Formats: sequence, C-alpha cells, structure tokens
Amino acid sequence: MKPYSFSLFFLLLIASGCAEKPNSVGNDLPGKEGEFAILYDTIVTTRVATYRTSFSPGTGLSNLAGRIAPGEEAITLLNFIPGGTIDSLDGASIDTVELFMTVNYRYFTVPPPVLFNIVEVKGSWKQSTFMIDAMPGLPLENSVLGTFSDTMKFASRISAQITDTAAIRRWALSYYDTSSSIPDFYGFAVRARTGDTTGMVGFSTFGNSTAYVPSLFIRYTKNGRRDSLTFISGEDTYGIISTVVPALHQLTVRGAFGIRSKVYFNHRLLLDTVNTGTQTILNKAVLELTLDTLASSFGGFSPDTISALLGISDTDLDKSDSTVFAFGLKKNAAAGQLRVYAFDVTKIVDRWVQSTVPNNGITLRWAAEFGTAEKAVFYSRTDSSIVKQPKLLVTYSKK
Amino acid sequence: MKKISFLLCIVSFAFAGKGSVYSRYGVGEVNMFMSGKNIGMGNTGIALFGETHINLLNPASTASISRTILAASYQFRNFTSEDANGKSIFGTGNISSFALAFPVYEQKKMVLSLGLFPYSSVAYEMQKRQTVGGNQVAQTLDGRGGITSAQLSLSYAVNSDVTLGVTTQYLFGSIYRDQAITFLTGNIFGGSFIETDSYSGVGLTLGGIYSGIDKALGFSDTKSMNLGATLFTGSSMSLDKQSLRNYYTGQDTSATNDLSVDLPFGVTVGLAYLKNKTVYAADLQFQHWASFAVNGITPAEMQNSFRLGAGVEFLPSSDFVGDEIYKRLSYRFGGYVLRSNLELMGESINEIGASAGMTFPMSAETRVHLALEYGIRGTTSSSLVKDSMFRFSISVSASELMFIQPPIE
Repeated sequence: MKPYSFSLFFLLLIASGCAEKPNSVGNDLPGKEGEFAILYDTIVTTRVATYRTSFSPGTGLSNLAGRIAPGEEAITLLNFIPGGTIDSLDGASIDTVELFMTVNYRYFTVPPPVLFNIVEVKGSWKQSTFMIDAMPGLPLENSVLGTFSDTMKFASRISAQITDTAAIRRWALSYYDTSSSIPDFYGFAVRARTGDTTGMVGFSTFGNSTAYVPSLFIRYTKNGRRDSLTFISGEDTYGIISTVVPALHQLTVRGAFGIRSKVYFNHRLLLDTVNTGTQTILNKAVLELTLDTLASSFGGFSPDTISALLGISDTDLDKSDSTVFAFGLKKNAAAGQLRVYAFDVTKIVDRWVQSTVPNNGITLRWAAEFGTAEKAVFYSRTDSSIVKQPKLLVTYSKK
Repeated sequence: MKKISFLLCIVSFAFAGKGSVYSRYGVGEVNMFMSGKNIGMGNTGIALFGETHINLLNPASTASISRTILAASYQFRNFTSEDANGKSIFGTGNISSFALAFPVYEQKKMVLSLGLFPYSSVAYEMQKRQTVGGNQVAQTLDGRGGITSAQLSLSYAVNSDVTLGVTTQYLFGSIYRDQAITFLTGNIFGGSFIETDSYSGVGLTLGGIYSGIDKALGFSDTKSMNLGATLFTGSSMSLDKQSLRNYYTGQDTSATNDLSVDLPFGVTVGLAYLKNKTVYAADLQFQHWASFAVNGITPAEMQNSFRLGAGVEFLPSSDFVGDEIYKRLSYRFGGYVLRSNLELMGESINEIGASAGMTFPMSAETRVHLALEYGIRGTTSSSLVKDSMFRFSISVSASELMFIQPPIE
C-alpha cells in the first residue's frame, strides 16, 4: 500500500461523515426528559382597572386648548419672560400687541374656523410643577384680551391682536420695575370661548424650534420714535378642567386627560416560583385589546399608538417602569370587523416568567399622552363576547 | 506523508459525533468495541488469551502476553437511520481505543495493562418541525459526548489452568445535550438550552479463564477448550449537571452538583475451543440495565441487555517471518444478536449483525487487524427507527521487548 493511499482512504471516510444534514428521523420516538415542549396559550385577564392620573405636561412640545365635549376643557398657559430689551418699554407708549402661535395638533368636533380667547391668568403657576388637574384652582380673568379665529391648519402660524394694551403694560412693568409695589403678572391663558365645543388644538411650546414657538410682537412709540419688540421665550403648559367621570367599567386610555388603564393576567406561566424549576423560555407574548369603536374617539390627525408598560406596584395603580414598554398598534381589519390593538409585550412578560419582577399587571397609556386628546375604549373582561375580551397570547417552551 | 496521515486521523476524531437517535437515552449507546480482532469474530473473546494483541474483554486474557504491546484502534461507522418520516445517513470515524500491556512478573503471568476507550457514546442530531400558534417552528436536538473508561488491569496465573484478572475502571466524561428553538415565521424569539452532564466514577471488572475445561471435565485428553467469565461490579457515579439557558431578556446558568448515577453490574461468560488451527468462540453478555438510575429514578425505557456472539478464527498456517504473506494471515467470521438496554413504544430495541476480519503482519512485531461489521438495529414499525450500521475497524498492535530485564550473562 503506497503511503498516500492510506491518507486518501481516511479522507474519504471523513468526507462521507460530513455528507448529511439532520432530518426528521426519530421524531416519533418518545420524548426524553429534558426535551422542551413548545406551547401556545391564550390567557384571559383576571382584573382590569381604569383610572385618572395627573401629570405635569410642561415638558411637552404641545400645549392643548379647546373643548371636545361639554364638561371638559383644556386651557393653555403662557408667560413670556423678556430679556433686557424689556427696558425699552420703560416710558414708551404701546401701540399694538400681537400674539403668534403655531398649530401642531388639532382635533375638531365642529368645522373650522374656531375661536379661542386670550385671558389674563390671575394666579401663580410654574411650567415645571403645574399639574393638569390644577387648572380648576387657577384663577383666570373673565375679560378677553384678544381672540384667535382661524381654521387652525396644521403648522399654520396664527395670530391674535391684544387690544387691551394695559395688560401688556402691567406685564412689562412687572419685569422692568422690580419694586415691590408692582403687582405680579402671571401670564395669559388661551381657552375656548364659553359654551363652544371647538375641538382641541395643540400649540407649539417654547421648547420647539424658534420658528414655531409662541411670540409676542409689540409695536411701541418712545420719544416720538416708533419701534417694535418680539419676545419668544417664557414658560408654558396646559391644564384640564373636567367634570366628566371616566367610564371605569371599561378599559379606557386617553391622552391629555391622564386616563390610563391596567390589565392583569394570572397563569401558572406567569408565576415564577413554578418556572424556575421548569426552565421556561418565553418565545413571544402578545397583548390583544379589542377596540370599542363607538365609545372611542379619534381626531384622525395624531398617531393612535398606545403604550403598554411594566407595572411595578400592586398598591399604586399607576406605578410602572417606563423603560420596559411596548407599543400597541391597530391591526388591519376589513370594514365591519373588530379593530384589535396588538402589543408585543414579550419584554414585559418575560420578566414575570424569569422572576425578575413580580407580576403587577400592564399599564396602558396613550403614547403621545401630553399632546393629544384621543380616547381609545377597549372591551373589558366583563364583555359577554369572549372574543372581545383582553387576552394575552403566549408562545413558550418548557421542559 | 506519515505526518499527514496522522493529522487526518486527528481530524477524523474531531468529526466524531453523529450517530443513532437511540443514543439519546440513558448514558448513550453502550460501546461493544474492543479491538478489530474481537470484532471479526462477532466481538467475542471472553475466554480467549491474546498473545499479539490486548484483549480488553477479560482482564485475565492478557496473561499470555510476553512482550510489551502497544495497540490503537480506529473505527469508522456509517449509519442509515430510517423511519416513517424519512431516512438519514451519517458517517463518522474516530480513534476508538488505546492500550498498553507489559509483563511484570513472568512466572505468575502477571501482566499490567492500561487502556483508554469509550464506555458509551452519545451522538445524534434531530430536527422537529411543528406549527405552534400558527407559526412554523424548528426544534433542533443535538447530543454528543459520552463516558470514557480509563482502566488499569492486572492478570495473574493461579496455576497452569486458572488465570485471574482484575480491571479498575475510572469512568469519566461529559454528555452535551443542546436544544435550539427557531421560529421560521413570525417575529418570535427562539431560544436555546444547553445541558452538560459530567460523569465520574469508579468500577471494577473481575475476570477469570479456566484453560482446558474440556480435559478437566473428562471430555478430552488435551486442553482445547477455555471457559472465561467476567463480572463488572457497576459503578455509583457522580453527576454534575450544568444548564445554560438563553431567554428573551437574558441568559442564565444553573448547576446541580449532587446527583448520582447508578451504572448497573454485568456478567459475561464465554467459551473458546481450538482445533486444527481453528478457534471457535462464543460469548454471552448480560447487564442489569433495569437497575440503571439517575438520582434513584430508573428511566422507563431501560431494560436488561443480553448479547450472544459467536465467531470462528482460522489461524495462520505459519508464523515464520520468511514465509509468504498469505500463509501468515488469519481470517475471522462471526455474528451476534443483541437485546439492547432500550425498550421503546412497548418494543425491545434489538440488534443483529455479522462480521468478518483478518490479521496480517506488518513486520515481525506488528499486526494489523481489520474488521468489517454490518448490523441492523430496531425496526420501522411502532414509530421506531431502524438503523443499518456498517462499521470498519483497524487495530494496530506493536510489540517490543521492554521492561523485561535481560538475563545476566
């Protein structure tokens, strides 16, 4: 036997050993202990809760004003904080004042144009601390300083003349004359005219880019010379006055008004002491909520995305971990079919399965909660149709 | 070229892995391989002495070794596995044993031998496809590894008829069982689970050969027949189990270190008969797998195993180095039936096979043993798997005068 023949022979043996891929032979043999079974289950809710919470919307990019339905109103608050140029108004006569704002959200219940009045705020507030439900306690002047009347097209720059220049004088005086005898000026409020169901409009805040921020344009005469000033910085926020009690029997999520919900699921899979021993792998968890389209209201303008967050407390309904979340989107459905929101909540449920955190439910809130006023109402666990009830669809593998 | 050949051998060892799906159970497929010489005779040899090779079947059988012998074996295996779902063909090869034996006290035929060979092997790869929640999922099951026996044997001749031997086996090794779950549709996280079982324990095999049992019983005037027997004591092994699990939000490992495995005892009995340069041999092996247990629990599929093997060897007509090569060849044939240690779906997994082999001298001190074996295991009925196995074995035994003090002039 020549030396290379021996090597060639081994090479052939090796090659024949690599020739085949595994296939399904042996699948019918009894499974061995330790083999994962892959399972799919539908888990129904054990508990739901809808509640109203309060938040400070001052850090948002949109301030709301208007009224979608009677008994509820959003009011925008503005306070221009001038720089050193305010001294120019010392000894000057104010000729005209114009307030400019930019529309960045709208939800109309009546055809435009719509009217928003500008009134003076008579109480103290701070952008960083003002809560949406603090509005009823904030006094507002009844007399109207000016009125926005516009079609409120998206991104349009709207303006209103402030005819009562005395109010502007008091505002300016409070900044260039700091003597204690000068009364504080607390800013302006933009609100729907009393009785009007205008719909809801969002105005760009001071936090937006310069072209869209609120601005106060003042023409004045001083020493016989006419000049003008524009102020574009300040504080702003909005608040809500609502006498409508949210429908707590259903799952409701609404932006602006701070209406959130919580859903709870209970299943062996979600109880961790069980899974630690059985080595469960969660493959996917999808939360499905069916929309009650009649009870819901969508402006058709803003994204209709809803957030699902990991609940971290059973005693505090609203306590959640905002870093563990999922977005819910409306699944496509043909006309007449149920509209379902689907949330990929694998990241949340896996924490329950792996015992990282206790199962304290899933918090639902509007994704753009600060700047929109849409309302999504979902069928709850009390609905007679099981198909419509909230459910968690889980695919998991366990030994 | 010799170096390349050696490297190829090593590479082929690295490829070792794929085999029968039956190796999923217990500690895997229990190895019957000892040497090419034994395999050629239906893997018999309990009552056979080896003079030019190391017979690992019975520790007493090394007593007739008068020179230092180094032996190594390579085996290539080809499996065709089939069931109602289809057919798989796997081929793999690896170095399957090393052994070294040398006499230490010739008057009492005390021969010390060291051996390293696989006690069991796990080698399977399967893929299950199913639809779960409307999504296609593929589950891959992959097992590899096995238990290796590192052993030390000593033979001892009580008298001219009775030879005894003892083997101490250190059993060790790891079995890896991996699972991967892959969803083929849907944006779904799969996952994987890797389990490593590490075994270690000590076992003892006692053996004996009675030479000339025919004469002792009055059947013959010459010593032509040997009776051999071995007893494997079993082993209480420790099992360290470690798991690595990949899940959606992370990965974790867990380890369990206080498990035990009871490897069951076994006995073998064999006969060998020499007449007209022809050796006839038959062995019966039994192992009490019904008492195999992991942490005190016996898997439902385990049953006692029996093996009956028989073979014949035609010895060379001449041992003289100067004679033609064909006169110095020996030929073997054999067969076996095996009731394996598995009972699945209510059926015993049985095996039947036939073998042939030959030995030719490479030099005055070196023998090459070749063996071919073909066997069928299992059945395609009752949702079981039928394995058609082809095995080719090469064993090389090289002897030398070592450790023997030359006579003083």
